[in-house]
Amino acid sequence: MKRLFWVGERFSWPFVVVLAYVSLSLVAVDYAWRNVTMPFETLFIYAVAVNTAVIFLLIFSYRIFRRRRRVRP
Amino acid sequence: MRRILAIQIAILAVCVVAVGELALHFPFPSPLIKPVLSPRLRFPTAQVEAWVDSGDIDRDFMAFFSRDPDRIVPPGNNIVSPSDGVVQDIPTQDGTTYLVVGLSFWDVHVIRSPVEGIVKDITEEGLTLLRHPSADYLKQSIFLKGKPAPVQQIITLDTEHGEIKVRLITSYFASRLKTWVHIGQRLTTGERLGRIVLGSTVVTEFPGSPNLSVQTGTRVVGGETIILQDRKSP
Repeated sequence: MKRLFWVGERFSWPFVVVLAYVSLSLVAVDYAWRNVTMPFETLFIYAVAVNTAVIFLLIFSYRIFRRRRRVRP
Repeated sequence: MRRILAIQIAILAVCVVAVGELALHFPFPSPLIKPVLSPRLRFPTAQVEAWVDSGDIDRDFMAFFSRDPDRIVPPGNNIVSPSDGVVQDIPTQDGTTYLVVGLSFWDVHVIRSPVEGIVKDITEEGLTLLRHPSADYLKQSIFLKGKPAPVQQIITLDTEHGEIKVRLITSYFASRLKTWVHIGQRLTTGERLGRIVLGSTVVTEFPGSPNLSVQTGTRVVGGETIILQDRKSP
């Protein structure tokens, strides 16, 4: 469990990337709902959909990255 | 390894600051996104009203509110709007037409000469409680629209179009009007007349019933929007 957050003498990159992503997306959503005229519920659904897709992409790319590192001689 | 940790801590610190600023200022905009928002979104009405009520007005908003941009005055002897804002009404009474322009928190509050002319007179009304206008006067003055305790600076201009008056109107409690011109001064169209430091209305008085090119609800820009076209101009 600890390896999810801390590896050796540093944080794990997935942990840092996910936190940075969540923070930036919060700021982006705040900016968006101030600028768009659509109802908040609709914006929220769009935001959840986009975030889910991006998180899946992040996890998928991380798995590929790990697999490639493992097969390297 | 230490270098990587330092980079990670820096990234996490930026994240904490971003989320912290968002949470601290919510529902009003975080300082991180303020610079990229339009003025109306940057300083929401509820927030500005709270500042005015408390008397503790945000320094950034005051800097924005006090702006005095240059304006490109259209050529010709047209009559232009003396201020930014929205035309609220154009009533006519006793042979005089009043163009009532309402200013919002987001409009430039510098007032400009609507036309070339000479300052004939500058008068004040309602600047003290003793000179507070009577109820009859308030009722009769259609351009005041029943405003309680109005305070006015009235600048009378002698122009080719006749005598034109520009009234800077605020409330007794705001009571902050500044005029930068003096009697006898020759003004060009769009030249700065003064500023409403706190307040909301500018009324331009025309003799007769001129055919104004604006109507109620039109957004006007001080010194730029033509409100009466000069027939001789191209």
